[in-house]
Formats: sequence, C-alpha cells, structure tokens
Amino acid sequence: MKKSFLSLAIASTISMGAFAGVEDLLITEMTQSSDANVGTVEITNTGPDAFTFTDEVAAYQRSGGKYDNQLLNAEAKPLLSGYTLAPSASIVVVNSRASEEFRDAIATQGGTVVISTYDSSNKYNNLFMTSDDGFFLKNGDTVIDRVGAANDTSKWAPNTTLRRKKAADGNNPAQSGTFDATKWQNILPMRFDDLGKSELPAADAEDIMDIFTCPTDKNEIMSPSEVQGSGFTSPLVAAGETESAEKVAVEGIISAKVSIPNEGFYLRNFASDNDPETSDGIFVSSSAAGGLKVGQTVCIGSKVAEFEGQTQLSADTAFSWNVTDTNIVTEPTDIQVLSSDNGSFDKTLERYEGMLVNLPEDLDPSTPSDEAKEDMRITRSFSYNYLLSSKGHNRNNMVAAYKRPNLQPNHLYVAGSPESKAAYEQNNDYRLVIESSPRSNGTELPYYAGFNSDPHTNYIRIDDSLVNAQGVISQYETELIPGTDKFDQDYSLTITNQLTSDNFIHNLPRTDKPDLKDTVADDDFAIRISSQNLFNFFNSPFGGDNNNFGQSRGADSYDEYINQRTKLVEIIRAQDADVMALMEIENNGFGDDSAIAEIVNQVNIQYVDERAQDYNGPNSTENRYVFVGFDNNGNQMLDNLDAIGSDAIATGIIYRPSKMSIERTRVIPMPQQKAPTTVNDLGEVIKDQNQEILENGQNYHRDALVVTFIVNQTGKRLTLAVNHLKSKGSTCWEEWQGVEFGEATTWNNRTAPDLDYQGSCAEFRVAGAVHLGEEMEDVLGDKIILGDLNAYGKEDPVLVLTENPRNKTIVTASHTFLGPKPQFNEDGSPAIITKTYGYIDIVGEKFKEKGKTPWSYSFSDEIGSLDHILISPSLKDRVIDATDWHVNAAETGLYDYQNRFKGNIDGTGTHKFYKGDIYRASDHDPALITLSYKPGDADANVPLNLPKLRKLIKVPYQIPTGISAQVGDVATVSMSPEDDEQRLDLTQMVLPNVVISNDTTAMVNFEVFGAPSAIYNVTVSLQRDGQLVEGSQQKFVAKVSNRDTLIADIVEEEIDHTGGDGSAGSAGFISLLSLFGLAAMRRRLRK
Amino acid sequence: MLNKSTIAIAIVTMFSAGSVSAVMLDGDSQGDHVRLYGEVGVGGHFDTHPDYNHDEFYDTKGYVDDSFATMGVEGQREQFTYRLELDYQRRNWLGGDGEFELAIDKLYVGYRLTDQQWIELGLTDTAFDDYDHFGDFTFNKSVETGEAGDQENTVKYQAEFENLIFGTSYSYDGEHKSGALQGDIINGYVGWMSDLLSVVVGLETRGGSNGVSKYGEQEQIGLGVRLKLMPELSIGFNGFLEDEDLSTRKSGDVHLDYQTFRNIGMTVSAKYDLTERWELISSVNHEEYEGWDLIGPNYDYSELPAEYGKERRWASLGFNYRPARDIVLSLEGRVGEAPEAAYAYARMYF
Repeated sequence: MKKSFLSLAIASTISMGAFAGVEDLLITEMTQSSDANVGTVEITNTGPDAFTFTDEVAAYQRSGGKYDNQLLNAEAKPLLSGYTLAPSASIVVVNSRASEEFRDAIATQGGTVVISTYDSSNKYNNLFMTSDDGFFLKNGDTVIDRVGAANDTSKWAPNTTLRRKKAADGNNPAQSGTFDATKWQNILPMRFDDLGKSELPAADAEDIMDIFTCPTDKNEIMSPSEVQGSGFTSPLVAAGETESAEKVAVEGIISAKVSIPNEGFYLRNFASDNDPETSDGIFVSSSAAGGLKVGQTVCIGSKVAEFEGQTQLSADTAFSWNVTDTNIVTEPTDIQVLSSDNGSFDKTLERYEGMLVNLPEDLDPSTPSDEAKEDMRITRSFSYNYLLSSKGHNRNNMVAAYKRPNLQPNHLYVAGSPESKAAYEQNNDYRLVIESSPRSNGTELPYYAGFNSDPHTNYIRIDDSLVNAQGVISQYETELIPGTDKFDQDYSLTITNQLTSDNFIHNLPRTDKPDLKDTVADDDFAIRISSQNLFNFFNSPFGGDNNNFGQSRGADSYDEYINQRTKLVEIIRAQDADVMALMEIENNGFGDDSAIAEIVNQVNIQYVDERAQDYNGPNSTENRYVFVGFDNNGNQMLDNLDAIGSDAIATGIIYRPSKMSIERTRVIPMPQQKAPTTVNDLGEVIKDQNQEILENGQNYHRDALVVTFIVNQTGKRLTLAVNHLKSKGSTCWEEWQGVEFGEATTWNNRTAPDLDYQGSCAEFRVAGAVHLGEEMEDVLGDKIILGDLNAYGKEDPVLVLTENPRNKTIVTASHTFLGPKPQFNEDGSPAIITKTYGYIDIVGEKFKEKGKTPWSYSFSDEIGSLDHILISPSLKDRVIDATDWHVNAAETGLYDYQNRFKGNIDGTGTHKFYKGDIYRASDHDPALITLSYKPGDADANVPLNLPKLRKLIKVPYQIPTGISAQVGDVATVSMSPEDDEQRLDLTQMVLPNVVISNDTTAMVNFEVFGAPSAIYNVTVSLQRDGQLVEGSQQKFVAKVSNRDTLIADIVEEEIDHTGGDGSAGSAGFISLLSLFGLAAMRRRLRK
Repeated sequence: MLNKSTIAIAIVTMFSAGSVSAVMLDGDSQGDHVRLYGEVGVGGHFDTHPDYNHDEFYDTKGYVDDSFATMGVEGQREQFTYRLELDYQRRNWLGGDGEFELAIDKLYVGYRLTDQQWIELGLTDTAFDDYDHFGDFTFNKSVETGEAGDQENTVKYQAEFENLIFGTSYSYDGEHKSGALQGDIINGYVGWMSDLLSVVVGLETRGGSNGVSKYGEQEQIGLGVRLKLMPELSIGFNGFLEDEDLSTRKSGDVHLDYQTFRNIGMTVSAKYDLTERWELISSVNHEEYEGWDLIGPNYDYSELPAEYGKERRWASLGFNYRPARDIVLSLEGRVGEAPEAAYAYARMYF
C-alpha cells in the first residue's frame, strides 16, 4: 500500500471527515525572522485534483516550541476553510499586518495570499512567526505535515527561508508529521523571491548561507573603538544615514553576553586605545550567539548601524562571525566624568557605550576638595517601568541618576520656567536605567541574591548609592514623548556581577519613626500634625458600609485587606500625631462601619494604659483618636449616608481629644469643571483607546474638610483644611485645547501635550486652590492647608496658595462652577490669578534650612512633594520642625499589601515581600509638623479651653514677664461663672493655692477640682507676704468642659462673632451722628 | 409687621394736603384731642412675574390681592400724645401665605417738647422710615429701601422747623418684619423742606443678631429729593446705598460666616397734576443687590441665578384719580424687569 493510502486510511478511521486529496497537501516554504510581518508559510497542492479546505484540515502555528495555536479567521473559523487549491497551486499564509506591497509581490509570483485575519476575541490565532516558531497542518486529530521541530524552543530560524526539497527520486516529497531539517533548503538571510511558486528545489540543492570570513590582512580589521569614534555616532555612518554603506570587519573580545536591553554580546578592544573620548566596546545585536562565550575572540563582518541612539553591529547568524576560543577576562572600567563632557552625563556614558564598566564610589574624583562623592543614586526603586508607546522595553527594572535622585522639575523651579525646563533636561541627561539579564520576573533581581532571599533586610530604596555594580552600557529608545513623534533615548547598565548589600549604600536608611523634633521650652507643649495618604483604604467589601459609587479601589481579598489595614495602623501609630489628615479613604460616610471608623478603632486598640502615671507613655489611653464626623446630609446623625462629594475616595481627619477640641467643622465644596465634551472636526465625540470618552469635560476635586480646633489648655484656634485636589493622571478640558484631531474618532488619552510638566488639570487645580484660599480667608486664627494637592512645590496651585514671587501668569481652568455659580466668569472663560494667599510651605522651608530637599512621592523616576503642609504666617513662630518621612515612596511597591504580581502566595494569604510593618504602607510619604504652645496662650475673644479629666482641670497662669516670682510667693486662683443664671453647684470646687518653690517659675498650673462645665471669669495672681504682687494679676475667660468624646459626634457650631454683637455702634447716638460724615461707608469684610 | 403698602399710606397721609381728615372724637382749642382715623383699600397686583420676583410676592399668579385696612386712635392731652393703630393686611410677601392678619402697627406714647419737637416711645416708625420714600411719587411701591420700618422698643425724636427737619430713633433688639432679630437699630434723617426743592438724607445702622438670625450688622444711607419744576410738575429722586451683613452658612440653628453685601437702589419719578382730581405719575427704577450677583464672592450657590441677573430695571406709568375727598383710585402699569405688570387700587380714608 502506498503511504498516502495508509495515511488516508488512518485519517478516515480517526476523523470522520477525511476525503481524497488531503494527502497531496504539502508545506513547501516558510519564512521567519524577528519581524512577524514577514513571516509566511506556503502550502502547495501536489496532487492532480483541486482541493478545497474544510474545517477538518486546519493550520496551526507551533509557537515557541511550546504551544499549538490554531489559526482562525475573523469569524473564529479555521483560517483555511473554504479556500480551494488548484493542482500545483500554492497558497501563502501571511500575518495580518503584512504590508500590501509584500502581499502583492507574492501574488505576482503566482501564490494565493491568505491573510491571517484572526479573531480578536481569542488569543494567539494570528500567524505570528518570530524566529522560534513552527507550523503544521492537521487533518482531524492527525498532524499530517510540519515545519519546525515540535519542541524546539530556540530561535532556530533567525532571518531564515526554508524551502522543501524534492525527494531523492525527483518526485514530490511525502508529508511528514515530524520535521527533518535535511529535507529543507536553508536560506539565510531570508528571501521572498520564491514565495507563491510551487516548484521545489532539487533534493541536493545547497543551502544558501551568507558566511563571513575574517580578513587575513589585519589592516582591514577594525577595533570596537575605531567603530565608535569620539562622537555620539560612528564615523563610519554618514550623516543622515542609519547604517554604513559597507560591511566592516571588527575584531574584539567578548566582554559580556546579555539579553537585555537587546539580545547579543559586547565586544571590546584587545587593548584600550587609551583615548577616553572613544568607547572601547561595542554591542553586537544577534539572536544567534547562543554558542558564544565571554572571553572568546570574535571577528565579525557587519554593517555599522546607529540604532535608537546606539552604535552597534549586528549578526543574523553565526555565519557572520569567526570565533577564536580564547578565555580572556575583561576587567570592568570605572565610569569617570571628564571635564570635556561639559557637564553632560550622556556624553560621559556615550564614551562607555558598549563597554563593560563599573560604577565607582566617586564618578568625579577630579573634585577632591568637594567632600561629596558623586555616585549613582537610585531614583526609581525596583518596579515595572510602564513606558508609554514602548519599543518593547516594558519590564521590571530600576533607574539610577548621577549624583542625586531625579527631582521633578517643578518641585524646586516654577513650572514652565527656563530653570524647570533645564531641570527636566538634566534629569534626562543624568538617567541610567539599571537592567538585569535575564529579564526579571518582577519579584527577583537576578543580580542580587540577597534581595531575593531576604528582601526585608536587603532592601533597596530611592536615593541609595549604587556602587561597584558592573555591567555593560547600552542605549535605546524608551517611550514616546507625549505630544510629539519623538522617543526618549536612555542609557542603561545591564548588571553582570552579583551584588550584595554592600553595593547599596542607604543614604536615607529606613527609620521606625519620623525624624521630627518636638522639644519645647519649659512649660510649653508640642502639638504634632501629619498628613497621610491611605492608599485607597476600602472596607466596604469586608463588612464595612457600602459606598455610593459602586467602586472598590482597595484590597481585592480579605487577606489583602487585613494586610493593608495592619500596615496603615502601624504607620499611623508610628507618626504619633495629635491630629492627622487622611487621604484616599473610602467615601462611605461616618457611621460605625465606615472606613475611617475602622481605621481609628484599629489604631486605638493599642492604647490601653489607663492610669494617670502612664499618660505620657506610648500606650496610654490619652493617645486614643477619634475621627471628625461631618453630618453632610444634615439628618442630625453621623452615618453611612454622609458621604462627601462625588468620588469613591474622600479625605478625613482624626485627632486626640486629649490634645484638642473641635470648635467647628465644615465641608468646603470645591469647584467642578463643566466644560464641553471634546469632539473632532465633524463634531463627533472622541473616544480613547479603551473606548471611554476621551474628555467629557466633567471634572471634580475632592471636597475640602475644614475643622477648627481649640488646642486644649489654650484659647488658640487651629484650623486644618484637608485636601485632595484632582490628580495629574487623567485629563481635563484644557489638555485637549489646541490638539488637532481632524476627523479622528479615537485618540490615545496619554498623548496630551504637557509642556510645563505639571501633568493634567493644572488649571483646574488652580481653580480649586483659589476657591480654597478664598474660603479660608474668612477663617479666624491659625490655619493649615494640608494634604495631597497633586501639585509639586512650584506648580501653579501651590504658587497661588503661597506666593508667586516671579509674577508668573497663572490661569485657571475654564467652565468651573460652584454649584450653579460660574466660579470666575459667566461665559466660562478662565481667570488670570494675580492674588496669592501667603501660606508658607513649611516642609520646604525647614528642609531648606537643613540643606535638604523634601519629597513625598515617586512617579516614574522622578521624586517630589505632592503632600504639603502650608501654614498661615501667624503660625510660623510656633513651628518647631517639619518633615517628610520617607517610609513609603522610597520603597519598592513590592512591599505593599497587594498580592498581584508578587509571586507565590503563602498559606497565610501573603507574599514574601509582605511584613506587617510600616514600610510601603502607602505610596505617599507622610508630611509632619510640630507646633509649640504655652498653656494660657489665647486668641482674642477666645476663652481658654480647659477640658476636664476626671473632674480635674489645670488652670494655667503665665506669670507676666517683668514679675519675678520668689520662693515663698503664693499663687492664687479664683473662678466665677460668667453666667450667674446657671446657678452652678460650686460646692465641690477646690481652688488651690500654690506656693512657689523656685525663683525661675514662670508658669503655674492650678489643679482645680470639681468645677462644673461653664464659662468662668478667672483671676490669678501672686501674693507675697499676704499682699498682692503688683502687676501679677491676670484675668481671663476660661471654658471648662468635658473633653470631646472618643465617639465621633456632630459638633454644632457656636456663633462666630461675624454677625455683630447686637448693639448698633459703640456709642449709640454719637455713632449715629458720626454716620453723618457721609464719607465713611464701612469697608466690606471681603475685598 | 409693616407691610410695604403701609409705607405708601404713611406718605399719603403725611404729605397729601387735606387727606388727614380723621374723625374728631373730642377736641379743644388747646390742641387736646382724640381722633379716630383709618383706611380701607381694595386692590392688588396683576400678572405677577416669576422671573422677576425677588421677595415681593408669596406666589406669582395673575392677581395677588393686596387689600388692606387700618384703623387707629390718636390723641393729645397737654404735651402728651399717644397713638394706637391696627392693621388688617395680607401676608402676601415672599415666604408669606397670602392670608389676612391683624397686627398692631403702632403703639406709642409721646411728648411734645415744643411745637416743633417731640419724642415718641413704644412701637412706632423708626425715624428714617418716615422719609425713606421721600423722592418717590408712585402710589405703589417702587424701589424698596431696606430700612428698619416699624420697630418695638423704640425711642424717637423728631423736629420740624420752618425748613429744617431732623429725626432720629433708637430701637432695642430690632427685628426684621419676619420677626428675625436684627440687633439694636439707630437711624435718622435730616432734611431741608421748601416749596421748590426738598432734600432728605437718611442714615441707619444696626447691631446684628450675633448668630441668632441671618441678619448681621448693616449700614445704610438714603437720599430723597423733590423738585417742583412747574406748578403742576414735580420730579423726585429716591435712592439708597446699603452695606448689609448676612449669614452665608448655618450650622443647626446658628448662623455663621456673615459677609457684607452691597445693595443699591434708585428711583427717578415725576408727578404731573392734570386737574385737581387727576395725577399722572411715572418712574424709572434701578435695583442692584450683591446677593443677586452670580459672579459675586458671596453668591449663594445652592441656588440658580435669578432671571434678571444682578440688577433689575423697570419703569412705571400710572395715575391717581380722586373722585371725592379721601378717595383715591390708582392704576399703574409697569414695563421692564418688574415683578408685576400692573397695580390697581381703590382706597378710602376716614
């Protein structure tokens, strides 16, 4: 029996649909390279009859030697079904993106082109041949013919054309379910001139290989440094060209072999040319270098190319080079900055492009007088690089920068200023991407075993110095610059040695509490305030109250939730703040099961020591917090219906009633943008790449929470406005003004121009800042605006709230509204803001004094402060210290609570990077400030707030300056209720006399027991020998009350004294007469 | 409390010669007397306009009744005077219900210091109230001056010399007509009266409610001018400028965050006596309240803006007809941003 009959018989038994002619189908040609667009498979009907494909005879790609992927058409049917192949005719299957020119050429050669149209709802059913793929035909369940070994996972066909050879007898060969390379003519580099032609080469046809032979004349051989030259491009590549006209022979020693950023190896000079201006190394791009070893000598024939900024050679196959099996070690060269680099670190790196280098502890030893060592600092911790429009370089890696981490350009320099642009350029210049080879799986660093085994000890933080890391320097294009068609180019170091913790010097080591002074003068006390982003703390899926917005942005599982909560509780406790502003907490109201109640309850669990002797201890009940509730819907209850604003996340405030008491609370509704939807020239709404409306013009801030406290033991007001302005991430109406959409109906939402690096919605944040500034102007006393303003230190919203010394023209967003009220102009046009509100960026100011730079957030490879504490000038003299605490933003996101992308999850539902500690509890660092108060300090017309603790109050007596207390003097206190009508029971009240025991006493605290809650007129004085010491008497008003409870309650505001005092003018008729001086109409409260 | 129409009647009773024709119950040549007086009026506002209604009407509809009756007794014995006046009026202002109510409008005792000077104590007009529409000839209200009106607990001093007039009053714990506390109110006026030209300047200030009501402090100046151009033709100007503090926020029952609102209003009016019985009266009016200003910093943005924007302007033309003594028939039409199209009224005094 002939083979074909046999196979037919088998086929018919196995698959019911077999039929005559299938045995004549033959895979006759294949092309593939790294470019899938030119991958093809030719199938020829060698039989006498026409053959029509049915679903039974299907085409498969064997992807990467691992996966069988059936090719489908757009209707999800087998790709070839319905095609008829005439006798001796060929069809050629091509990738869906094959160019028309390419397809036409095949058709001209006689082939029927079958475009692999593929079904987009299924994965992997396009023909996608990329050097490591095979192909087979299946009849029913039987593989009837195959090209490419079924289990070959290598790049076995680089830039290759395979043609099926005739059988030895001159007949067409038989089908074969297994691949035999000897039955194919191998052509390299690939050719397409036979595609579509059904004739087969003879059985003895020779392979056509482009084989290089190293010239015997050494003068014809160049060294890597000669190819590199001293400029940014090779002298062998003519200006305006991307590669040299001719191939050159280059010889060198393999210094490294890596697969990242591109697969290939690095050649170095036999001996340095001792010219520091030229690199002594060069990269050879090749996927065929599997057999090469580091230390071997290679002579390669290649054109010289300038590819993505890098001078390189390339080789499709091992036929492109000759190898001498040497084993010569390459010592890495220290990178050294030269004065001839003119301050350009790119120029420095260009001199090392293609070389094996070492990062020394001092890259610029030419400055010995300069004590600081210029080294490489980590500027993005290990994380996914999220490149936009990347050319295939999306992966997990790190970024280092020369001398210092990259500061966001607008953090120190006014957005849009030449200095800011220069800082942006410098960041680009100083950047060095730290790569691994092989590519990291996202949880392991191939070059740092210590990190992989014990990441909690061997951590890497932003601002760590990376020293003595060795590797090769490459250059490549990273991502599209938004609003342009240009790509950023970066240099990278692919590390080749194993690192230990000695290679990472922690310039900002982990600390378990913030470095924040709160030492005060005798008798004074400190109030500590902080601001912390809670990284989307949502409790609604885990028993908490639901939010109104149908979103859950936080933990995905109960395990994650507990882990998230644990870390947040730790970081809140570690800050030990007396009042704390929170951002990114679920907006599910203020009921018992709200997210903020949950956090407070969990934090309070630790504070259990009740005895008075423990009051200053770490676990005292005095440390307990309560959250500030807002009865936002006015139903006189704090519950889950009191959600604030229109976002799933909100801000919050928690405080210690032992330290302060609420005077008033309010929510400032922030402006909304109600602008037109962005449309194209035809008026059609434009969608983004996710089929969402690109920009619907409706944008929101989180509403501001404003709480005025009275600091206990004083009459000092302290108002906190907690904010979370609109983020930089998604666009506002402004971003798309001036963009030419033409008739496009879809547009990438990441391509909005951002010329001043403020990100999206800067104008809208200005509108928010203006409104906030205006509303806060009416607030009496000391004020702090804090929170995540989503603006770096010198961006427009911060300039508005602080100062605008350079008179930058600051423009608001258009179409902003407060309810139905246009915020600025009735026609929606923007306003130019010339007024600033004079707040002080206190963290920035304190860090300036310390010679440091604040930052609280890391985005891409730049750091800066989004989290601010802006104080009113009235507070400045009270400030003890202010700081950022780099406990989160400096750390890699691997340490956070989330389990996604963290590798194996253990039995406790946790990944190996998780620890219930403070580090990476959030993605933002907290900002903190300490203020100093003296008991008895008071604002005008504000009574001292003296809360009772177990019926005891302390009445402060600031002995007037100029009065020197003497030992033996007696301080006395008397208190009488201001309102006689209350008829208070004062029988229990104990008003002590205090005998002065120290000549330096400047303050006496009377422990008064049993005073009922009321307003009192208090008189304190010193008696000496039974006589009043002249000038020592002080009179003030004090409010004795119970402390704010630890159960959040609605605070009904008391009168704010802006509504007059009831009497018309100070002196009745005289005042009226004065009115007849017509000139003086009273000035208005608000300008 | 004081209805706007009573202002009109006050003016009419005080300045229309011969209209003070009360029923003398008792009297002697020394000036001691007891008189009964009063008014019955029927009429109202036609075709009120929702777009232009600021706070004029409790409802906007085809006809809003403004019928009104008042009856009072006033007397003098030796230097002492007294007055009791009852009003029966419609609560037809915004926030009212359109129903009738009976209210004591005046209740005071007075003392005549001289023939030209006197004081009053009790519930009475504040001083400025007597002249707040001095330059406005219209029978219906035109631009409303937001002075205190009638107040309880008031001490008032007034003087009328040959040309000079002067008055001032102090009211303890003054109230808005709604009953809301406004604090102590002091106001006054000084004027020069002559046949050709009369000018009155009024001033007012109040102490504010200190969080009890929405009313904070206030200061106001008013000006009224009448000029007789010809024997039959007079023109008048009436205007005010007011800085009034109002609460912009409330927590529970407490009013907070008082902000100053500047309000301006002015009327230019003219009166032409056709015959003894017929008068033609016209006016042009302008009103500007900061609270209406959508772009103003203190706009209450929980509400949509008014149709008329931050100012209202309108004009009126009407006539008064006096078929007999103590009877006035009035008809007035309005154009522009006026809250009503017409006003018609018949009044009889006794």
